[in-house]
Amino acid sequence: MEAIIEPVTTTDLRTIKKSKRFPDFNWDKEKKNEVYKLRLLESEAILGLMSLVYFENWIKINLLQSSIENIGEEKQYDRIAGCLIAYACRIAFRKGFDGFVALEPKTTLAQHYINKYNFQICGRHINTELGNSELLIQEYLNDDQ
Amino acid sequence: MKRKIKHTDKELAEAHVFPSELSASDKKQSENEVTAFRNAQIKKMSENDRSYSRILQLKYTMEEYFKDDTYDNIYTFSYFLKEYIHSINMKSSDFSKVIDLHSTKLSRLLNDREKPNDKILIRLAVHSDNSIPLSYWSCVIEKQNRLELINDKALIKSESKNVKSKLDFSSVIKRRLSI
Repeated sequence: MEAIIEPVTTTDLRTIKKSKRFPDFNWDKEKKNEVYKLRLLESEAILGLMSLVYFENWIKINLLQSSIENIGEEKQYDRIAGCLIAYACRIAFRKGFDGFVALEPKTTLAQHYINKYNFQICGRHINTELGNSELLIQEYLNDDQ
Repeated sequence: MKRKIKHTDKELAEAHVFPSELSASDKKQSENEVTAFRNAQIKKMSENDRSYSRILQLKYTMEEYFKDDTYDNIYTFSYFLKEYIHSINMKSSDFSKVIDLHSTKLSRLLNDREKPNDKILIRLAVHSDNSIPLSYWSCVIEKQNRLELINDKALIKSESKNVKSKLDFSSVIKRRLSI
């Protein structure tokens, strides 16, 4: 399936709120950050959202959420979070940040991110950079996948 | 009801990055720790790491350009080649030797006086250890060629004269507009 990642619009934020497909978090509050959406090329339906915060020389994933129908065993599409994380890595290369992306995991979930994306521990955050970030981009954003 | 489903930690992690649960001050401190770690990492980077990072920065600049529908006169093959040589911290004269290209030829490429052939594109991809694949260099050239063709008003004008008769859809367009 061909998907696209692009910035959310104000209209998107209204739709997100109304649709109830992204419960538990107020995405309106993320407007102050850079927010991206993942959707299929042939559809306007948003499958995943990611909010990024920029620091001097690194990027933090502040919040990421797959749509409600894409969580758990019966999810329609796999790899939504992976694609969004890889996209953050790509931005981090473009900006000259050496692909450095960090996130602050819930303690109970940290090991999952470490196992799945090969993040490394960095205080209370975990991060990826350089070669590992490029591998994530190849794995999740490569057109052949 | 979907909302009532209890997901496992693995399922939650596969679909989320949750927001910080720290207090504002702890959060700031934690982010400062990352910045300190990051700055230390930058100091520890080898020249090879730095080249790799700069090459990937260039790679994704190229990708963004050739995937975009808009054209930009700045982003020519020569622009990306200059940036590539700069990113590996090499002098043009040394680079020409490394890829076995005469320095005059390289100079002509760098000054937009000549287009590269396929052999040169292959050498560039191989030199970067395929960090910038052959297809990327090729896409940049294709887009440059398209832009040059679109902007070649003289050629378009002269070639148009060779078309003895052309199809006429003006009535169809007018009819569509009047609906």
